[in-house]
Amino acid sequence: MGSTTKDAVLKIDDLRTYFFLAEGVVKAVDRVSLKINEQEALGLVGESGCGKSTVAHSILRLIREPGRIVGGKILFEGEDLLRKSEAEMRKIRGGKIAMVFQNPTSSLNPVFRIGSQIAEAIKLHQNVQKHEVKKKVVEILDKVGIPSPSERMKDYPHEFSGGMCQRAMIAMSLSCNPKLLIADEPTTNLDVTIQAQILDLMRILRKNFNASILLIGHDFGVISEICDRIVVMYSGKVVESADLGTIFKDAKHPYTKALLESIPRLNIETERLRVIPGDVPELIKPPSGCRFHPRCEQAMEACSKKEPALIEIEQGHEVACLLYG
Amino acid sequence: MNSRLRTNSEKKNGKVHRPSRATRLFVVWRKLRKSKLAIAGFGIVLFMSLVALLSPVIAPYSPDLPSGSSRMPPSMEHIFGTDNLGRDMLALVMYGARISVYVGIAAVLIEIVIGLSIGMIAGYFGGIIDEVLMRVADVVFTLPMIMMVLVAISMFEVRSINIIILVMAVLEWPFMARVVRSEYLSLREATYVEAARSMGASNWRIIVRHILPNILSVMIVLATMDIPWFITLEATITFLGFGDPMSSSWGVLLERGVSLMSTAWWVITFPGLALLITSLGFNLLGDGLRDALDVKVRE
Repeated sequence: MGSTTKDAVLKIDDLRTYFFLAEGVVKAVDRVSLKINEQEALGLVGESGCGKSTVAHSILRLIREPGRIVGGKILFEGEDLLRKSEAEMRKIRGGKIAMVFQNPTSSLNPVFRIGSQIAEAIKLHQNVQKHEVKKKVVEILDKVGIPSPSERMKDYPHEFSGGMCQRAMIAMSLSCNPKLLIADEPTTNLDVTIQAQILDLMRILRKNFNASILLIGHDFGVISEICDRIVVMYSGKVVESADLGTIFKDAKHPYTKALLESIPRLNIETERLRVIPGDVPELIKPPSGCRFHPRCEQAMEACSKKEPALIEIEQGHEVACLLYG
Repeated sequence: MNSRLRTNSEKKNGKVHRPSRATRLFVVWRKLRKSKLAIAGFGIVLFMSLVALLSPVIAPYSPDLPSGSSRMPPSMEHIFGTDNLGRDMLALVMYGARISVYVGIAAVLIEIVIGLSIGMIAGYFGGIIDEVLMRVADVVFTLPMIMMVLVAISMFEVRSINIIILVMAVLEWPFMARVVRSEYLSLREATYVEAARSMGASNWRIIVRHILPNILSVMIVLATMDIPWFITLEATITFLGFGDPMSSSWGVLLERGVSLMSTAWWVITFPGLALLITSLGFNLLGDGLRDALDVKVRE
């Protein structure tokens, strides 16, 4: 893939985001490191509650009480976002790093017209004349495939379908030409045909806007549509990262393998899909050693005692499992 | 590239069929019109506001000078009769509307300024700020109205209707603050608020630009319902003798009427009816607005 020759847009180093609850500390993100190269699309995969959305929120510093970023570094264009002031962060949010959310219909403010919401995003980050703003709104809505944009920009969000809302959200997030687009399960609440359209759109836009993408999801099918590289998270930790082809052909971590086997495939005949036994561990008191060992089929003695480190087993392929360490 | 992304029906005729675009205000009006009670309320409020506004033009006599002999019962010349000084009761009630409606609106405006700002700060920021502001609200809530009016009168050494308005608003804001706080408490968790933050909006921008328009309908209903509450409250305070005798609101007329009740029933009856009907009108309108402004209630 040659991604190693490009510069990293975003480099997360040893990030720890904890939630301090009355019952104890939840380590939602526990020493996560990853990087996204220029114009690369990175997929962050894991079950619900594994901390993938918390990573996304940490990047934009949108974590709210009782959550807190406890340590680590988030280097964006070489600067640590965790050291920025709140005012500097506001310039970055939406301006350089934009985010698309899971529920398109509730991500738009119900009392404002679609057009004025996008216009606000533009006015917030760019010095554009008033009449120019409207032209820009029409232009960007057209780019994301909203039909008759100069008409539809006067609609309220409830007059848009879910897919249209997500297009509008994508338009808003791209309106200021961000360097990085974070998409937090952007297609989860859409039906399958609309899902395909949105993925199509994201693929096209990725080429046109030269933005890097961090796509968060639990669905390998969706992730594989767009992403070049995949990072698999489990219980607040990165367990494996490799490029798309390697993950599908040569996944090493038992969790990644199990995840892949639980995707329905049309070309392979199976009686039943595989299910990973057990439940996502409670993050408040995670299992000792490797956090996956209670559910792992290949668990050994040592797994409950020693915590595996993330090791590069070949160029660009990292695994955190004692089988390979 | 775009044609591929469009749905079939949209592609077919190029131009999308759309329903006529009614403005928000018009939709609200159309829904309001459906309810007979709401329309009655709207009519009463409109009528009373017009009377208050136009009383110098339409009042048959001056409210300050006698226009007949003392305590004349209702007749063709004096529809509402005259008081003990021979002043026309209809003129007095009309001019009284001016003051009472002014009292209601002014008090609500002050209440909104205080209650809204405190409620939105407490609800949005939460935590210790919320705790402190709401405890202050609790304390203010316990202060007795009449006593505070007396304190204010002796403090300012003048009996003015504006002081009564101020005292009422300053003692009643906790009610509004609590409602606003609970709205902000739930709306700050909305996805669109998070989306706004992710687009780089500041806290103040979110509070004022993103959340406030969403609770506008709640505020309109609250304000409409609070106006008659303040009008009646002022009448009560005045009736008990702590009011401003110089501005003859309906309360003042009621107070004067008590001593004449046995000899001239009309002096207390007509201001009382005006008060009752106006209160009813505002409450009916408020009820109707609550349904009409609710987007979830379909036409």
